Amino acid sequence: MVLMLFVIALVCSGAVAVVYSLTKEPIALAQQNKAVEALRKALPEFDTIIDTVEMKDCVIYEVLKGEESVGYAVKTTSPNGFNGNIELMVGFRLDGTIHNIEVLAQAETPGLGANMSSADNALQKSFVGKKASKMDMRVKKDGGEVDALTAATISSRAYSEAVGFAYEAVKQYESENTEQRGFDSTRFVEGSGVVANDIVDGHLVEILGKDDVTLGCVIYTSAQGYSRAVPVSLAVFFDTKATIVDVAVVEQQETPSLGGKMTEEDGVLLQSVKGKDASRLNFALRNSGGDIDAITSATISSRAYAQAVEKAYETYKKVNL
Amino acid sequence: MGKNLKFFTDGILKNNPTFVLVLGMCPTLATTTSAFNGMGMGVATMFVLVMSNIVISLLKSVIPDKVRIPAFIVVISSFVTVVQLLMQAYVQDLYNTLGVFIPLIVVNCIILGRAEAFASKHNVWESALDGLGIGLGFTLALTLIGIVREILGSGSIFGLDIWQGDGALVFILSPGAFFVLGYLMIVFRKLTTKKA
Repeated sequence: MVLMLFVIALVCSGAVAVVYSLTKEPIALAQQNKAVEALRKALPEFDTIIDTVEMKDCVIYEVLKGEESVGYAVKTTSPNGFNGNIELMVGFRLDGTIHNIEVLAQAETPGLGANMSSADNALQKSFVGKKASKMDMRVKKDGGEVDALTAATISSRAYSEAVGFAYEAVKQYESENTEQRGFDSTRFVEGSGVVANDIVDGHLVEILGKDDVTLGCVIYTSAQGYSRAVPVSLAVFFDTKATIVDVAVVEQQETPSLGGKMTEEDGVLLQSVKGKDASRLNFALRNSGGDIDAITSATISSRAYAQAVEKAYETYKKVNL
Repeated sequence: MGKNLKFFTDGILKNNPTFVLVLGMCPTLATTTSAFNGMGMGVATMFVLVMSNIVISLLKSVIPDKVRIPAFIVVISSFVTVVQLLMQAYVQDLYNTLGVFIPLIVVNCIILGRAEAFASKHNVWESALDGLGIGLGFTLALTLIGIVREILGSGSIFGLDIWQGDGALVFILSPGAFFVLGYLMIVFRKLTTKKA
């Protein structure tokens, strides 16, 4: 009796195992196709996915068109839907604008919360085209700027929460992968701490504070220098009045005895920007009529340095301190 | 052949699992939000039903009486897993919509009911016909409920718009399932008793 049951169970599990092995590939393929399809809807046109990283419970896809980065798509989940998890694919352009949002999975009430999947719904429209950094991702009922779906506040909150998670993940990804590269901005001022960070125009911005006083912000930028492989990456520290307090080179691979001198503490490049009011500075090199002294025989490297500082200033103007 | 045909038609009319036997109400009410979902659920159940009926009828003489229920469940759940894997591979959208109700086919009382009441007492051919009949009856009933709910609730049929705009939302929600099932049951009884 027991033997017979055992035999039946054995044969059945064998059969299931065969079907499993046969369908394993089609299932993986179908899931992958679904993900790629969602990526295409969430992002501007692209041709290759170069990176897939898991970050803070989200999956980040970075995509390229040709050799240019197009942006990031983030697969994100909120567990707080009205009826289980809500899974979204949120596309961010490089400047942090939300390009589009695609619902991957939801089990909300049909006709109410489930409308988040329909085209051009109010919820999606409140996000698309907005800068994630400048947006209060709460529904209007809670004081934010998101239009909730009619009679589906809980679903709308969960949706907004998921978009928020996606943005947090992108911020973290950017801070780990952009110009920062492990640079610790608190070294500019002893005893200070990073009180907030954000992505502005694709650059990581860290607000520095000490004893509840905002000291200023550190902006990470980069520009193509002499080295094709590694751009000149800087951390530029501004105080609250647009004065460039200090500049640190985070990463560079310029010619060691020439452009590589930009890392020196008393280098001409650093001296021509340090302590200056950025709003009065002409970021062109001295020989082009600007205010920046170039390193001798390293014009390209010097120009990259100046460009990176200028970019930082352009970004600084958009930061609210 | 006449007797065999009766096994088949009984499942659709006289023993219709939804309108007459009133079995398997959980998936019936939950998955019939649209005609396509209802039909998908019905077809998945039909496949499991036919296959398990065939296998159980083949094994009826070797399965000891005392462990027949566990043996049936093992057979049924294997076929459900097969259906689940196949749907995941080839009709993933439907699989996502039906969600938990696919694995729950295992505990659908229609299937165990037919295994116990029919397949374990009849030969393979008859069991297959019975499974097909009951399965078709279930599929037709679910599709019908789905059609009615979809027309009234979203103004479309099999995803094709009949009119623009929203329907009566209540028919998509759970209360609508009970309303539609109830009224269809009345109509079904009326039609079938008249014939008799």
